[in-house]
Amino acid sequence: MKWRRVFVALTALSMIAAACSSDGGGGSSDSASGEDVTLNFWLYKEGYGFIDQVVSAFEAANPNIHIDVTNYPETAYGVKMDTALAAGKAPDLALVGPELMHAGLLLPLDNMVKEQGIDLSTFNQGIVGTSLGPTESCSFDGKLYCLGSYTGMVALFYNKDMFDAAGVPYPAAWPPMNVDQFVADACQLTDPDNQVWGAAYGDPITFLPWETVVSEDGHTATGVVNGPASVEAHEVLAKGMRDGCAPSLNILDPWEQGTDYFARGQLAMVVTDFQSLKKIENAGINYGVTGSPTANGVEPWFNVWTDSIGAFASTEHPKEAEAFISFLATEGQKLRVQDTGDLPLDTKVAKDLDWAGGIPGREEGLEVLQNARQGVFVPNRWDTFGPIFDAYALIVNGDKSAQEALNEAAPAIQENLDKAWNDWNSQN
Amino acid sequence: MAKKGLMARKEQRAAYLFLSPWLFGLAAFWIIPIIASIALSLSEYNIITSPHFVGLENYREMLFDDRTFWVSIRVTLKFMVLSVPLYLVCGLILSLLLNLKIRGINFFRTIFFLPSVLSGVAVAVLWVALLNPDVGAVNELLRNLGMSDPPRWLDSPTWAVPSVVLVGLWGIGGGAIIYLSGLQNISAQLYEAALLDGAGPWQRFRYVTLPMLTPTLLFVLITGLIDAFQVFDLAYVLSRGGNQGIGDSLQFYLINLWNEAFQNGRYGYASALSWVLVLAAAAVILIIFRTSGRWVYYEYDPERGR
Amino acid sequence: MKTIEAPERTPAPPELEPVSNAGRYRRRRISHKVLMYGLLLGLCAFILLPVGWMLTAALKPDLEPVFTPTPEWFPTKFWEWSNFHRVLTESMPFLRYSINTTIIVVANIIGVLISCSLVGFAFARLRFRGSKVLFYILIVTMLIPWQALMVPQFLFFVKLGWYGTYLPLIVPSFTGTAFFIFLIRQYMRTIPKDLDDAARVDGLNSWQIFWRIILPLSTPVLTVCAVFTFLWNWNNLLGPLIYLDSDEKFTVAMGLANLVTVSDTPWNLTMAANLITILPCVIVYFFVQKKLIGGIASVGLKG
Repeated sequence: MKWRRVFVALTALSMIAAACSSDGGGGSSDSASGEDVTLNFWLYKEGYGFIDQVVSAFEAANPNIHIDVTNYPETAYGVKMDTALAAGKAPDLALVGPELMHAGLLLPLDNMVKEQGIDLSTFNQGIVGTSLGPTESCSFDGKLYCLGSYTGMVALFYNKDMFDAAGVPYPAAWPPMNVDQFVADACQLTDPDNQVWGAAYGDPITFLPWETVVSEDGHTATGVVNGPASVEAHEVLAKGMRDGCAPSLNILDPWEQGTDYFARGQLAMVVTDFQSLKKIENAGINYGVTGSPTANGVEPWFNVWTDSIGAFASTEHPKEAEAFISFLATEGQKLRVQDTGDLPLDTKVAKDLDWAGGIPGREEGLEVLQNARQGVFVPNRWDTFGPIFDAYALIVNGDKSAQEALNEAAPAIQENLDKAWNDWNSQN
Repeated sequence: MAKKGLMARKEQRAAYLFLSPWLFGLAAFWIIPIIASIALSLSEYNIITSPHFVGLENYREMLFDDRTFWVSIRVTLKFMVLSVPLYLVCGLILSLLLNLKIRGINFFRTIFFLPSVLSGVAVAVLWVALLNPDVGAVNELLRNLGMSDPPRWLDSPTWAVPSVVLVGLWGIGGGAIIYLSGLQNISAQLYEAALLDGAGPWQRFRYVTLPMLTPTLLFVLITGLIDAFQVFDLAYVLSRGGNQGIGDSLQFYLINLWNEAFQNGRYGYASALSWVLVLAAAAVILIIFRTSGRWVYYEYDPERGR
Repeated sequence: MKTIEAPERTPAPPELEPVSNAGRYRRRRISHKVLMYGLLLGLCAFILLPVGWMLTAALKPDLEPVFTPTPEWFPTKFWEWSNFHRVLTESMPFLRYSINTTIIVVANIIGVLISCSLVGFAFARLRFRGSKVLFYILIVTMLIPWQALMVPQFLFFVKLGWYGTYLPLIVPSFTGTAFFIFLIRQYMRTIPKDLDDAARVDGLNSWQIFWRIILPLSTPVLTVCAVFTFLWNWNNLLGPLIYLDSDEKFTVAMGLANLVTVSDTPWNLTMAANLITILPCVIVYFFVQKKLIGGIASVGLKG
């Protein structure tokens, strides 16, 4: 019958198509140095498509090395990485994190840094500085496992014109304000008639130093998360939202939308991603930069990160992979500044290329950056501290006082913390 | 009699031939992974390094040491109790509406089908915005209708699960086509006979449509229960991929499982969780099948010699 | 060899035709119709308003906030149709992804239709030893969460050498899917037994009964299976994610997911992309709807 023949033909075709496409992707060919090498490079789009340019520049400088870049969805990147590792199909280069470092799967880069003569002292110490414990940056257990091309950080942008109009003095670039000053300024700058809020900020834990909620070794939350510094900070910040000096998180998410509102002149201050400064500059705002607010009695801190690119120990071409990372950390940074205008990882590059370009806001940003230091490491930090988000919501709504809400959240957080460390330590 | 025996054997052989693709698939693609999964449930496994055997420790921990396990059971049950009857009834009503032979019914059917086509992320972003307690459209509407303190939806421990049920209800048009297909085998003669007996629309539904639809209803009931046990995609994106609602109010069983597997690096424990789920679900469904004989009517029913 | 007479087609009675006198009849009929249309339109609003919101978002320029305090159901100020063009050309190699996805989807539909109709028929209309046990096994396979099988099955396929190909995404559909087998079984069991008996009396074997009688009557349920297979595979992210490792083979779902980042997701483009990807599904569904009519109701049974 005619249909049966059609079905069979279509079946055969689809199987042939599937078989033909199984030529094995970007497998690398055998090589001694000098022969053609292909490296697999996995990452998720950081929104700027910049990596392609670095790759092209690197390939131009090294004609025998070809890099195959594959983008995966950010939300599913972890699943892809885990399954590929389990199957022994890890790439050569990739965006990496502490789990991979902890599992010993990455290539230490210290030797490469020495050989290539890269001076890490001018690099952002929050990312490359050695520390005692695991971190979310590039150094782990005394070794360096990744490098990047830019510095991302959480910063506080403020609108200088609005400050002038309200007669509020500018905050210094460093040290940043404490939360009392921050909220007080915000309330002075709020202008409901013109639909302007004094400030926009997220849950306190997203920008306060981690020492406010957990001990230095990252193991104890009880007594810290409901300790005086944390309680006071939560109380003050929640009151700011309740009094209308800052929009509640249901109305505005500072991370997603803060920049847009600031760029349209609806916010006097915003705690958000420093990379947004281009949007702000494009909108022509006269902006200033300072660090994210800190709690009383706690040394100021702000989150920093980079496009942490590392190489897998299982790679067949370690020399070539290292060459790329070295390129990224040197030439790549210059390309980054020139092409995207982002803040490079190496402040020396920023000075050499005059990244600040005389713009006061950028100078202030650089000044803030000098004070980057590593944060306390907590495995699965956002999930572990989940209860504190709920507690903050209760405080903002006025359902509970800060001390009450945090007292209730502390045992749950401690439980999560213990479990998280247990799980972390049981992985080999 | 010999002829009957021969025919039965021929039917038996034919049956296994018909079943062969599935039997082959079971042997080829299912048996080994299932055995592996059971073995993994007896180990600690973080996927990126090799598993190591821990015996029944995972099961012990689950039952005695894991508060989240019991929370997740409660949340999942709450969802099941709300969603299964609701979806069953609404799907049926919708399909009857969509079965009307009025002009433009094709357009209506396509419109109701739209939500099922949208990807999970889009639906979630959409509904998180709509259900925003302060500025979302749903609460704006409720306030306009006079409600002074509308529910805080995803932000409220009591309304979080109903929010997920609501979003699922929005997408029910896709499943309505299952009922539509079931309605196709109800013979016109039955309706004619009913009309001749003077039956009105409700009676025709009650005594012709509904009984003939029971096989489809059984299917929807079983798959609805399985879906409720296995809620994941919608809840995951509605809880913004991690923070499981206020006070764990969106801590569904499979979400907990997923987090254990991919966030906490405990795929072995997650496997144990999944096998407990299979056992529980199998028990419930077995009961339903056993009792289904009393209310499901098949035209062709070998178990009843029909 | 005798052939079974093709059953005559008699239309099913309209659901709304009460037997009563003319004037009252016509008025009842109109008010019923108005009620039905009203109900349908009301429910449609529930469906369409959120989609209208998506369209509004998709038409906004880049710096414009997408999540506004008062929701905008219809585009009023911004009409950036160029967003759609940008999605098609800049954000991802849309054409290539669409072709890839179509290959996977079509292959799956073929696989499902063939395998599930065969297996479903056996469970529905054949007597054989072990039918109960096998059916329960079928149901139990539906109960196993895919998250649990994902990694073992993945490693298994890797061992087979199928990593980086479409094979793990296509071949299993040729071995049956429990959901569809169950659905088809329920459907086929509502077809009257008389047809089988008459056929066996005429000397037809199981295959012929399947091919000539039951299968043609099963167009509605097979359409449902095809539609669902289309949907699941079109939107499936995790499968292609873990098995594919080269951009040329990626699917539309992956391209869409790539747009979403933890910070700075271009929501207007994401919404536009989603709207574009639902178009093929909607078009296919609209045209395939005709096949949902079939079965016994549109086929009279003669004596």
